[in-house]
Amino acid sequence: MKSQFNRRDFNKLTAAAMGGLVTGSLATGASAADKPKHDPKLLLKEPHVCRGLNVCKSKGADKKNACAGMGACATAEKHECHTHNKCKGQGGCGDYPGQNACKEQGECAVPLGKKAWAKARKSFEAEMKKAGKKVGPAPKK
Amino acid sequence: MTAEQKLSVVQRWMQAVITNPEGIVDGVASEVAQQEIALDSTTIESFILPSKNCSSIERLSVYGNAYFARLIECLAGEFPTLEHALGEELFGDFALTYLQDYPSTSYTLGNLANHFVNFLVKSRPPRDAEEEPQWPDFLIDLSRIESIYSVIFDGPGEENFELISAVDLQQIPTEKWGGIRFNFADSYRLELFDFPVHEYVTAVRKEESPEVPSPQKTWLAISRRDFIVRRQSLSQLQFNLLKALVEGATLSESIEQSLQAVAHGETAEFDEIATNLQSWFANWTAAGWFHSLQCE
Repeated sequence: MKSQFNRRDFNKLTAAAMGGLVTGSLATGASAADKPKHDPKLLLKEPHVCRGLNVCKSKGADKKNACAGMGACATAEKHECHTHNKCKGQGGCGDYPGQNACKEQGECAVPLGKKAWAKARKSFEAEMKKAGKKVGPAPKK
Repeated sequence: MTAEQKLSVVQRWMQAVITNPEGIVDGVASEVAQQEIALDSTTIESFILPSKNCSSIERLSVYGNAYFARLIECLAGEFPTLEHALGEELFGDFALTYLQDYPSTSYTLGNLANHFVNFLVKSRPPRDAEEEPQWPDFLIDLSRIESIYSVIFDGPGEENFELISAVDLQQIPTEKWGGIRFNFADSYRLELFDFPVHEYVTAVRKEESPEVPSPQKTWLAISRRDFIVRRQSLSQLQFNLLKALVEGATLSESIEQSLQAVAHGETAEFDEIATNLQSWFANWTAAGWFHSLQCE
């Protein structure tokens, strides 16, 4: 490839690229003219809605169990942010907060063993089997 | 000590206890907590009263667990596709291990995921360099692209900038075309992945159930325009050309370098390359990738 083109060829290719730039800038100019002015409503879609916990609207306590009333167990309502992310309310204390599952060894156990990759492998193998795909040997420990 | 001072001491103690990544018992024994209020497992019940059903430690654990659950929830919000790929429980395992290794220290949760990709890379099971990318690499690629999308979304955009105009371009003398250098949009990123993760992310957003894709070199240009993060798949030649431009090479240098970098032995018709270049630069300019030009 190196010797395929000479200096004159490269000048022609540069000119082709410049032609593209002009064409693209004309398209941009046209679309900019059509573009509506800044829409303040876009601010309502800002991304930090998911991140700042205090922005996520609390549902308040459900008054049924030990986890309730903390705010932390009452999670944000589902809503879009980042235009795609869902702030998922997962409940602070596992699937059964009403059963006082919030113990150190329970659903939201702290600490948890560092075996996530091993579990991920198992889960991956199951997925691949379901899809009828072969799986190579597991990575070394 | 006033009541307010007492309250602030208890608040600091409580924070140290419930945010300890090793759990409540270790939190109570931690130096930070001990500096505020010196308690141990025998004396804690005189400070945090047990309830009918829970011990003092269990009562504190409710808050400790909730603290970590909320942080995991935030991470899941940052990496929804990775969570989809792993499943909620397994994602939670990774997230919790991450929070233990990299406890939240910033005033803003916007920084919570700063080390997550690196954490996955470092904790990944080892792989020989010659081996083709495997499932851990897929997960790492997923975390990378989601992190990049977030960074670009939150970062500076070009929404209020004037783009290159045809009038400006026409003022550049022909003999200076080859020496033009490009200033790219602030949000613009060129990224190489081992898997077509952009397609996987899109499929998950559409609530489809995509299969784990096979490894495939994937060159992407990612940027933000009109407050939307956009990605475009590139060929290797396009990627090399744009990379040279991003790194500050002139237009003619970039064209030359990228054509030379294409696999040896591969031939291409001159007319075809010229047509492609014209079309590519038209699309890239229209996409707002180029912020401005510099002439030598």
